[in-house]
Order: sequence, then structure tokens, then C-alpha cells
Amino acid sequence: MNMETTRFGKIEYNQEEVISFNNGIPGVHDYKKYILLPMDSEQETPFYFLQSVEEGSLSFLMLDTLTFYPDYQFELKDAEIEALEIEKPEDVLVLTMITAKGSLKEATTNLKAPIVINHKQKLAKQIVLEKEQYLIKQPLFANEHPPEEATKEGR
Amino acid sequence: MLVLSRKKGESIVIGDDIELKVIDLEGDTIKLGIEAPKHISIHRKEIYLAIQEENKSAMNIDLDLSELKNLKK
Repeated sequence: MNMETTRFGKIEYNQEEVISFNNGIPGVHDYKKYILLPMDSEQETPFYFLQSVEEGSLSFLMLDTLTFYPDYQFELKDAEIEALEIEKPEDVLVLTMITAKGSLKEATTNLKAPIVINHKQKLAKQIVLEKEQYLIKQPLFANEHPPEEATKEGR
Repeated sequence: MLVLSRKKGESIVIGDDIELKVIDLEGDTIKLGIEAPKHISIHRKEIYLAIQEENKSAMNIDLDLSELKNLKK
């Protein structure tokens, strides 16, 4: 299938690659179908674009979270595991959205609400972590303190 | 908005599948129990709004991507 996108121009993709957010994404509920495009083809950088296949101008820059924060962890509720039809941990990919206005130095990632993707079933959902004390705006670079320290200090 | 008063232990039913129960009252804090179908997400409003806002900020990032390409795993 083909589509016209703002960021990449014309792109081709397979229907089987399409990932469905059955509940949409908070703030952009109307759009439920996306594809995941690695930032580089050799997979050397931990970045992806989550590109809407319904709206060419809509995309999100995503971080493969565990590559930056190896200790990042959270529990999925049973309802979430069911909704995503997760059978094995290997089927799951966790990505977090990157926000940056201007330079990369000020970029932050939303550890409080990761995007959890069941790669096998092509289902995804943004999970809001109620219990875990991660930040909505976790600086990617400025900070030496990893998320766990923020938790210990009760921030 | 429909406004109803409830005492501790009393409930409100929404549709056929959702129930809100007043579990406890302590000072100015109310503890609410919620029963709802699994596909319905439930969040504290201020957190949900903050996530929505952050998602909107994250949309269509305006960044020099060559900076990112230089960061290897």
C-alpha cells in the first residue's frame, strides 16, 4: 500500500505491518492505525517513527526505551495483557514518545505513559503507569540521574 | 453534569456495566471503588489530561534529525 506522508514523502508499506491502537492514543483518539519505521535501516539508533496510516501529517518520534534505560520496568494489569493479547514477554516492544521543541539536548521522553506493542498480534496501547513514579518529561541527555533514583527520592 | 450525593458505602451505577462506590471518607479525601469492563480505562483526571497534553506536544516533532542519526545504540 502507498501513502503520502509529511515527513517521509511517499511511502510503501504492507497491510500486515499495520499496528492497531484499538482505543486510539490519548489526544489523537480518532487515529488508530500506525506503522513503525526505524529511524535508520541498520537499526543502529534506538529511534523509530510511529507514522499514522490514516493521516499523513501525523507521526511520533519514539525511543526504544530499554536501550536508554535498561532498568525501566513496570507491571501490566491483567486487563491490559488481555487487551493486547500478550502471550509471551518476547512479543512485547516498549517504546516511549519523545518530545522536543528545538534542540535535541532538551528532548524528553514520557516514561509515565509508555506505548506497549504486541508485535506478534500488531496491537498496541498507551499504558498510563499509576503506581510507578516515572516522569512524563524525563530528560534524555541533560540528567545524570536515572529514573530509579528519582523514585527513591520520592519525586 | 448529573450531580448525586452519596454516603459511605453507597454506589452509583452507570449504564449496565459500570459501578462507582464510595469506599471511605477521610477529611477531604474520598476513596472510590470502580467496577468497569476491562476494555474501559480509568485514570485520575489530572494524570490523564497531562498525558493527553504531552502526546499533543510530542506530535510531529520539529527537530534536526541528523542529530539523532549520530547517536548509535
